[in-house]
Amino acid sequence: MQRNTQQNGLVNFLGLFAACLVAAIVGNVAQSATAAVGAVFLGVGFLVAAISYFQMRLEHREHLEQLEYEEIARDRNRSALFDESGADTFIAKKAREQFERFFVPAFTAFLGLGQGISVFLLWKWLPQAPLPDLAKAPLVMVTFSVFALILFMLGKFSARLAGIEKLRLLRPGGAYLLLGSVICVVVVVAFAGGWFDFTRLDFYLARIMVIILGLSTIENFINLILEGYRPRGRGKSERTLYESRLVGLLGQPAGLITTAAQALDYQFGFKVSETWFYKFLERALVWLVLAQISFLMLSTCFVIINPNELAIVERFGKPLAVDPVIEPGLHFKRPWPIDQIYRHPAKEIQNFSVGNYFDDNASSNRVLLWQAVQGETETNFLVASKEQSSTEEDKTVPVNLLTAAVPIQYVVNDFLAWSYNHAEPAKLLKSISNREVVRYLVSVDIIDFMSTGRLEAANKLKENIQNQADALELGVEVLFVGLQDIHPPIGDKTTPVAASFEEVIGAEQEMRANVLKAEGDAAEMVPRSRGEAARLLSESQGASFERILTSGAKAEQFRDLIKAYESGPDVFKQRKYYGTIASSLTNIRKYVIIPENVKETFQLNLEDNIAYDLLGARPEER
Amino acid sequence: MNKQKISFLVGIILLLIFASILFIFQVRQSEVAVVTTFGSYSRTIEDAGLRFKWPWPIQKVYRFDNRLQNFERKFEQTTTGDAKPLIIEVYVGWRISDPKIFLERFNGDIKKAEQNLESLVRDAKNSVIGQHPFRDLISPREEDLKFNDIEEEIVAAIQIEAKDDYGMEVVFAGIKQLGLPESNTQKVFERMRADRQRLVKQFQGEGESRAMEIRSKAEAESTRILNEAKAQAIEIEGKAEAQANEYYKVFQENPDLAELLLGLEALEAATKEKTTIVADPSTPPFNLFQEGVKELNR
Repeated sequence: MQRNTQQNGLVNFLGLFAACLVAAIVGNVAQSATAAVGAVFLGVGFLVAAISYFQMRLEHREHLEQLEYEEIARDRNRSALFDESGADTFIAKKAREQFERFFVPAFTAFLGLGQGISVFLLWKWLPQAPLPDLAKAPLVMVTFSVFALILFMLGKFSARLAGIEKLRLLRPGGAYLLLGSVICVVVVVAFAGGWFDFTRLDFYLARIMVIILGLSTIENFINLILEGYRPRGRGKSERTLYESRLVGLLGQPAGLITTAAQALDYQFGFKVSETWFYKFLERALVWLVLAQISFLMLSTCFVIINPNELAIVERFGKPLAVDPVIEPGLHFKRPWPIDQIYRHPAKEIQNFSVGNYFDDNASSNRVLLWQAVQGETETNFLVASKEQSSTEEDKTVPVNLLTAAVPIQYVVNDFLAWSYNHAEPAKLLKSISNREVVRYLVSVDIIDFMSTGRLEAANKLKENIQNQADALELGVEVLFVGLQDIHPPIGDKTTPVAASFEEVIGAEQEMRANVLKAEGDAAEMVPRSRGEAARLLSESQGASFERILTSGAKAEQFRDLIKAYESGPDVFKQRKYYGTIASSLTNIRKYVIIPENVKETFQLNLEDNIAYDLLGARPEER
Repeated sequence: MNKQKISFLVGIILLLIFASILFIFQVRQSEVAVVTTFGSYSRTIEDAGLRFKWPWPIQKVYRFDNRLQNFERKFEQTTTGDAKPLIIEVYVGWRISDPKIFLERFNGDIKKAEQNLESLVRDAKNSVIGQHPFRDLISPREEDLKFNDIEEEIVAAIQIEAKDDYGMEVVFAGIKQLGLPESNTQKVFERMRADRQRLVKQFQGEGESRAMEIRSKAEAESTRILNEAKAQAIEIEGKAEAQANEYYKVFQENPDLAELLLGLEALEAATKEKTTIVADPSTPPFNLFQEGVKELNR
C-alpha cells in the first residue's frame, strides 16, 4: 500500500509539473491571462505535491525501520544492544520528525512568500496584459479541455485514496490536481467569452484567480501562526501545514460544508459541527442563500439618482416610451436585467479648455505674465494678418501666431440626444469648439482680436459653438466661452516675440515721455523769455531814467560850473585837472620816468605779474 | 416543501436562465446587431429590444455602436495650392451605415475600421488642401475664406468609398487645428518681432519729432518775446537819449568848459581799472619831480 502511495505521489507532482509547463507555454502563445495565472497556481501545486512526495518517502523509510525493528525483536531475545534503544536506534523516524519540525514550516513560509510576490507581480501586470489571441482559441480550448480531464481523473483518484487516514499526504497534491482541472475549465470559458465578444472576460477571471491566490497566501501564513496554538490529540492524524483548505474547497466545491466543518473541528479540537447552531446553518443554508439572492434582485428595483445626475431607464435595451429620463431622487424600476439604468452627471457644469490648459487651482502663481508659460505647454493658433494682400509674392507665410486659452463651460440639456446620438459627445464638443476657435482666428487681425475685438469674439465663439452643437444634435447648452491668456507667443531666446510686443508699449510710453518733456521745456522756456523780456525793458527803462535824470542834473551842475569857471577860468581848470589826476591815478600802476640823458633807453615789462594764492584768487581779488 | 422539490425548482430556474442566455439577446438603443448563422450573414437588427437567436455555435450575434463616432488622429504636414507648408488636423464624424459590410470588412473591429478610414481621410485632406491657396484657409477678408467649402470637399472625397467599401457613412469633417512647421514658425516669430521693432522705432522717432517741434516752437516764441523786448528797450533808450540831449544843450553855453569837463570825465573813466601810466616828466603834476631833481642837482 505504501508503495502505491509513493507512486501516486510521484504521478501527482509530475502531472502538476506537466500541466504547469503546458499552461505557461500555451498561455504565452495565446496571450491568455487566465492561463498565466493558472500556471502560477499549478506551479505552487507542483511544489506542494513534490514536498508531499518527499514526506511520503520519509514515512515509508520510517515504516520499514519499524518493521525491521519488530522483526529483530521477535527473532532474538532482548539483548544489551536493544536495551540501548536511544536516539541512534530509529534514524528514519528521527529524520522524519526533524523534517516535519523544521523543513515543513520553512517550506510553508517560503511558499507563502513566493505566492505573495506572485500576487503582487500578477496584479501589476494584469492591467497591461494583452487581450487573448482568439485565432488560437481552438488550440487553447482543446489543450486545456484535455488537461482538465486528466487532472480531474488524477485528482479524484488521489482524493479517494486520501480518504484513508494513512494517506493524508496525498490530499494536498490531489486538491491542487482538482483545482488545476477547474483552472483549465476557466481558461476554456475565458476563450469562449472572447468568441461571444466578451474578450475582457479573460482579464476579469484572471483577476479573480489572483485574488484567490492572495487569499491562499494569507491562509498559508495564518496556518503557520495558528499551528503553534492548536491543541494536539494523541493518536490523531495531523494535517500537513502546507495543505490549503481553500484549494481543497475550490477543487471540490461540493465539499464546502464538509471542509468548513472539518476546519472548525480541527482548529478547535472538538466537534463544532455537532453544535445546534452549526446544524441549523447546515439545514437553512439553501434558504438563506435563496433569500440573499432574492434580496439582491429586489435591491435592483430601487435606484437613487444623485442631485447632479440624470439617468435613462432602458427596458430590454430600449428607453421607456414614457419618461425615459429620470430626475434626481428615489425611483422604482423592474429588476435587472429587465430594466437597466444609465446615469450621467448631466446636471453638472462640465469644463474644458481649448488651447492652453491652465488650472487656476493647481497653480501657485498669482501673477500671470505673457513671458511665462502658463500650463504645461503653449498652444499657438494661426491668426490672419492685414498685410496679407500686400505681400502676395512674398514667400513668408503672411500670418501671425497667437497663444490662447479658451475655457468653455456647458451643461447637458437634452440627455437622450447626449446619450444616443454620439459615441463620445464630450470629445466631439471639444473638437467642434477647437474648430470654431481656429475658424474664428483665421479671419481676424491679431491686434484687433487682442484689443477691441475681444468681447465680440467671445460672444461670437459662444454662438458658433452652440450652433454647431445644435446642428450635430449634441444636446448641450454652452454656458460660457472665455478668452483668457491671449497673447503673442513667447518665442525663443533669439526671437522673444511676446517681449517685443511689450517693447512697443514701452516705446509708446517713451514717446509720450519725450513729448511731455518737450512740453515741459516749452512751458519753462516761454515764460522765462517773457521774464527776460520784462527784465530787459525794466533795465532799459531804469537806464533811461538814470540817463535823463543824470543829464538833467549834469545840465544844472554845468550851469553852476559856468559861474565858477567864469570867475577864475585858469584856477578852475587847474583844480579840475589835478583833482581828476589825483582821483584817477591813485589806484593804478604808474611809471614816472625822469631821464637824465635824452638818449637813454628804458625797457619796461608791462606784463601783469599775477601771483595766485592757494584758492586761485588774484591778489587784488583777495 | 421537501428537499427534492426545492432542488427541482432551483433546477428549473437555472435551466430557464441558461436557456434565456442561449436563445435570447438584447439590442440596446445605441446599438445595431448582425446575426450570423454558421458564419454566414442572416439579418441586421436596428431596433432596440429583446430578440431571439439559435444558440452558439449555430447563430452568433455581433453588436456595433450605431451612434456617431468621432475620429481624429494626426496633426499632419501638407502643402497648399500655392506651395505653402501647413500642418493640419482634421476630425471626422462617422457611423455604421451598413453593418453587414462593416462586419465583413473589419470583423466588427472599430479600431481596424478607423485605421482604414484614416488612410482615406489623410488622402482626401491632402488632395483637397493641395487644391486651395493659403488664403482660402487664412485671410482677414471673410469673402476669401473657403474654410467650410474645404471641409465639405473632404467629406465628399471620402463619402462614397467609405460607404460602399467600408459600410461607413461619413457625416461631417472639421478642421480641428492649423499650424506651421517649426522652421516657418521661427520665421513668423522673426517677422512678428521685426514688425514690433518697426513700431518701436516709429514711436521713438515720432516722440523725438514731436518733442523737437514743441521745443522749436517754444524757442521761436522766446526769441520773439526777447527781440520785441530788446526793440522796446532800444526805443526807450533812444527816447531817453533824445531827452538827455535836450539837457546837454546847456553845454553850448560854454563849449570850452564843456570840453574840459567831458575830457576829464573821460580821463577818469578811462583810467579806472588796469591802467599803466608811463608819464612824461613834463606832464603836470609829474613835472614837479623833474624840477625837484634839478633843484637837488643844483
